[in-house]
Amino acid sequence: MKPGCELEIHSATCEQLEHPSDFGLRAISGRFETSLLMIAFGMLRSMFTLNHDYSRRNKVKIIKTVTAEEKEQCVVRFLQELLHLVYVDLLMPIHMIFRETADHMYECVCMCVALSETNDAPGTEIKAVTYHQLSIIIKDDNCSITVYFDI
Amino acid sequence: MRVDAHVYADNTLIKQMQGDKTLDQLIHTATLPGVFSQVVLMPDGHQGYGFPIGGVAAFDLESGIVSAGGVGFDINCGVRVLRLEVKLEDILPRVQEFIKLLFQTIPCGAGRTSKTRLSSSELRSILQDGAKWCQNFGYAQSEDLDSTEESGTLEGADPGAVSDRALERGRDQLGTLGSGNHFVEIQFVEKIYDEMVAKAYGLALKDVIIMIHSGSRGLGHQICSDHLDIMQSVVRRLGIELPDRQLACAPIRSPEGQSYLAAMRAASNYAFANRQMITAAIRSSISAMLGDCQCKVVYDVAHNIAKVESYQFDKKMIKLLVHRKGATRAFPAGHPDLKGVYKTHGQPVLIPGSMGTSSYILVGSDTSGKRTFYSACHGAGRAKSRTAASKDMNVTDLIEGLRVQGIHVRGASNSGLVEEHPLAYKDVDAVVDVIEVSGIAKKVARLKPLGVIKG
Repeated sequence: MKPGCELEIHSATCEQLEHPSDFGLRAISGRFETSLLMIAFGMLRSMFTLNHDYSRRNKVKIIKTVTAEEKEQCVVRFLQELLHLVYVDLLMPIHMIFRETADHMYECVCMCVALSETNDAPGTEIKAVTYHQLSIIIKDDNCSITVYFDI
Repeated sequence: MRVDAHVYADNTLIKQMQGDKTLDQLIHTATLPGVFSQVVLMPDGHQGYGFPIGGVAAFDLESGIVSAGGVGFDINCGVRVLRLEVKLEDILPRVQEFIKLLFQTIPCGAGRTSKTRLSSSELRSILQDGAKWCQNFGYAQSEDLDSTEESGTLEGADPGAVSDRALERGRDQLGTLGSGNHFVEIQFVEKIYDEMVAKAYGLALKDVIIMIHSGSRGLGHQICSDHLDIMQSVVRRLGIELPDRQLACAPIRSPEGQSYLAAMRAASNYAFANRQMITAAIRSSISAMLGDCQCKVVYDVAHNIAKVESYQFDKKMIKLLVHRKGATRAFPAGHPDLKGVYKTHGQPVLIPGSMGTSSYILVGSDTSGKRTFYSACHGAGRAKSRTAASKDMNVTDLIEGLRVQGIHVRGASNSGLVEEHPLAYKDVDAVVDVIEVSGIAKKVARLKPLGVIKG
């Protein structure tokens, strides 16, 4: 199993891109896993602004697994899993550890807090992750991921 | 390109299309297997994902493909127009009160859930029966369904083709408005262009109108995402080369193609039911505020959908799968798929403007249907990105500017309002003029806004 990458919700930012209809995100880091988590938290932060008390809430551990034959598929499937976690399970990941566990298999351990209708402010309703102009460029210890979202 | 690409636009609209990838996307659509005759872009066309928004493409049933991106994520996003039997002068002093009541009654905005909690079996029934389910449970009158495209139920839906994920997203959202550019707007008929057709549709000058713009919510988005994922595998397996992965597709006759169509029809039925439930909520609000006041459906039509339709080419009738993404069906008088007054006069084409601008009701007029596969535009079309729109204006100025025009607005979020300000959209008058001059559809009535609630 390869070493994982770990990030917290406010520990890294990514670039917001314009799109004529909706919006996109781009993250650049030294590793695919790190860039993916940066995109993931960028997406989550745009969906909800957590009240400052979130660190004091009870944490729920959720493990998400994704199988994907290629990295683009991994990106879309993983981000879709997070959409479901937020909109259906009403859980917001605040800390994630993402790793490749085997060929074409990935796992993310998410520490989540329950969303509060009264305390947390809803932002943009992200409805889907698109394959449109999705790009993953890995070169010389540098990984850039670009994703567009349908809102 | 396998076929030509036809664009309906004036000089200003073409220049706007040239400012982003709209035209490239149209050209990409013309490269897809089995594409028939020509691909079309409506005057409100703008850049989307894969297919451009405002795009129409038809495919041969045997050799052609179906693409989830050619319908869009919000399956059966569409418009419904209602007419209230109340005098304009009676409602004018109470518009603000009415808007406030609607905002409280209809869940709108990100994360808002329905007051109707559905069981799994109820949800599956809705996916199968659409607005008919609403009628069975007293949320719809039979006249409502007569005034809805496909009577509010697309045949060939299969709830079994819908993933558990999609069902989970749809379970708590029936009767909700959504966010983004979805809205409920109160309007009045400001001008009549065609007296005879307007009368047939039940419209007269100064009639009070309510326009609903909403779709299949999270369920439709999940279905599109699920099937795009499957179609990616099909494309790899068959070696189909695509200029944009969002154009992922499957042969219509393949199991994957048939599965998508069955799921898409299920989502379409959910959207018809959704707009019907919003109608029920509006009727309840009207009753609370105005007592006994009738509220009738003028029409309900989709603008993100794929349907099998018949066309005459070279003296033969052929069936094609027509993808409309941000484009509205516009059947003319006499079309065999229409009934009643619509068959006599032609089908209403409902064109919402943007906040503060006019909306239109048109009637399909292109009798051959070959040029655009009986399709018209769907609205004003975005001219600016949401980010650029947010930089243009602040919410206070926006609300005040609308108030000065006599338009009351309530929104679920300030950012949502600002992103949707009128300058972010194309000129709907110019869009509709192109449609009329091109002979695709004719103006019947112009509607002026009085108040709006936005998600």
